[in-house]
Amino acid sequence: MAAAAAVGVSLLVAPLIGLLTRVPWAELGTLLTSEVAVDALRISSIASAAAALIAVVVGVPVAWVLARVDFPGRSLLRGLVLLPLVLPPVVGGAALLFTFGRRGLLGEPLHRLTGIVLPFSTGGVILAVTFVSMPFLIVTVEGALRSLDPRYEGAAASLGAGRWTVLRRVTLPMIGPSLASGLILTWARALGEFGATIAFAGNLPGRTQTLPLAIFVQLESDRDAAVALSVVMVAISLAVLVVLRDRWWRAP
Amino acid sequence: MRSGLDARCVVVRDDFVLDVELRIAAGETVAVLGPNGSGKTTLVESLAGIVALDRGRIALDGRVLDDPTAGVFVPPEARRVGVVFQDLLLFDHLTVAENVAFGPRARRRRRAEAARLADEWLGRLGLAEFAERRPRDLSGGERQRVALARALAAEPDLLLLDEPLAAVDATTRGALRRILADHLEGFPGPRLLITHDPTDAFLLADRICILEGGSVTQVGAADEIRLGPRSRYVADLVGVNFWLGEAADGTVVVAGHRLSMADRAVRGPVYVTVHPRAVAVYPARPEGSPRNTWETVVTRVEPHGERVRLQTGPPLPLTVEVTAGAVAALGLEPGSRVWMSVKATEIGVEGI
Repeated sequence: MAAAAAVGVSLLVAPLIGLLTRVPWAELGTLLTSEVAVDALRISSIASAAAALIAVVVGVPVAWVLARVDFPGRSLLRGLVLLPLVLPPVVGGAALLFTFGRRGLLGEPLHRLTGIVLPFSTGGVILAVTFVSMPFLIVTVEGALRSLDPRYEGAAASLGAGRWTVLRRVTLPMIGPSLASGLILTWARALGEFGATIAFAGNLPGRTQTLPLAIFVQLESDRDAAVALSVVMVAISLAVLVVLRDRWWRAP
Repeated sequence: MRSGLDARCVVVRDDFVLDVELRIAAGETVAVLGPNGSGKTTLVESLAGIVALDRGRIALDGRVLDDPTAGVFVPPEARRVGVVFQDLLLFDHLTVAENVAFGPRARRRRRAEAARLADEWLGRLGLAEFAERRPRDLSGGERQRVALARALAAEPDLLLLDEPLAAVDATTRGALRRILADHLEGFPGPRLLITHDPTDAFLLADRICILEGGSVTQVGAADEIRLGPRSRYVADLVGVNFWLGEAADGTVVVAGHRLSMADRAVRGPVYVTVHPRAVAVYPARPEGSPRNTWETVVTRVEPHGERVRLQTGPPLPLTVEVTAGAVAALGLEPGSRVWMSVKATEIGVEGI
């Protein structure tokens, strides 16, 4: 048992050590300020922040509907909405391409009416990472809404609060911690997204090349640059773990 | 013009029907007293607008709040029905002052105005020092007062109190009941008190409404119900003998009659209760007599199945419950002379 556990731990920890032994610490500053690195950081920041924002604006209402409105087909809808959690991201990217591509189901009329082309644009990156990451927010917030006693909202209503006031002053503050951790999960997932992005938005430096894509490309051409960018992502991942530690590491 | 509450609430559930008619004048307190599962909470929810009526009509000061046949349903936030919930439902993410200011804010008062109103109510309920604390850091009695302040600060037209003293420990219950009585007195609209504790109903309500299995089985003033209970439940629950008394040194004086009690520590004004089944009835002075014995006369005999309720006369009129067998064996009828005996441990005393 202990031996198997040791194998398991090495499997998870050794690659991290392997990566850290290759970090060119002295040149880290130069490597992270190169054009490719700065562009990738910029695009990843924009896309992941946009995905988090979109998830709040439209994902919270989805969670609310799933948690609070009883309608036929609710389970089916929940399954469809959460599918991207388990769907291979590259398949998601292909699906986005057939839907929002220039000749796609929605992409064609979108292009005809507005001239907007999503694939191979930063907007396309945002769409791809949102598709993959938003279910994390939905599943977390839906769980929180289900465990919130709806009678608190009834109490607020009896004090004269309309739906919007109840949502703003009671529901959201009471699920605040879950909303925050769902948001961090969503943002972190969006930041690390690879498959859907490369399939739908491509890999254009300065436009659609995110941090993971840049790392993938640099592994072929400039290993030190790839390692430097990887270190950035490790640092971000560690920060996410620290922020969410109370939620995941609650001592038994 | 305040005409009070005029309601007939019919709510149909799978296995349960609530059907209650209720009229409460402005300034009147009605207690709804009933066992668990009798529909008390459903009644509160239908008046508050949390549950819609299936039939019937709710009108408050002439304003129709719910009338399914006319297609009227006013949502909770527009009803002006204040509720003190059984488990309070205070907002722990807000301070005590913010909880109390919630109603005024929700009704579009300016922030400063709402804060001033909240301060006023906190002052009136002796909660000023807790204004900046979270409700969860307060004691049960303090939290209860916050819930009352929060409901009253929203300036409702009808006040619903759902088991307001159930969650409070016995030592603070008396003090809290007095606070509740004072503020009910100051509330100008109709007040509905939901309780399963007859003491609350006797002390706080002008009229009592007995709810059993979704229907009202009896309505009346406290004394009418106590002396003439119409069902087993009422007889058991409210048929209890009840007085205000003065306690000192292990005795309590009620209606000019001195009774020994087990608790020697209690002094001053008290509520005194004696359960009808705790009274023993003898044809002659009982042997090795317990301290609380006296001779009296039976004034009324009311059979309730296997049990029979007796009313007895001076010096201390009591409601007594004995078996039908005992009535037959003693040949009890109105006018029979009997000896009463109550153990000191059966004299229930609660400080006011």
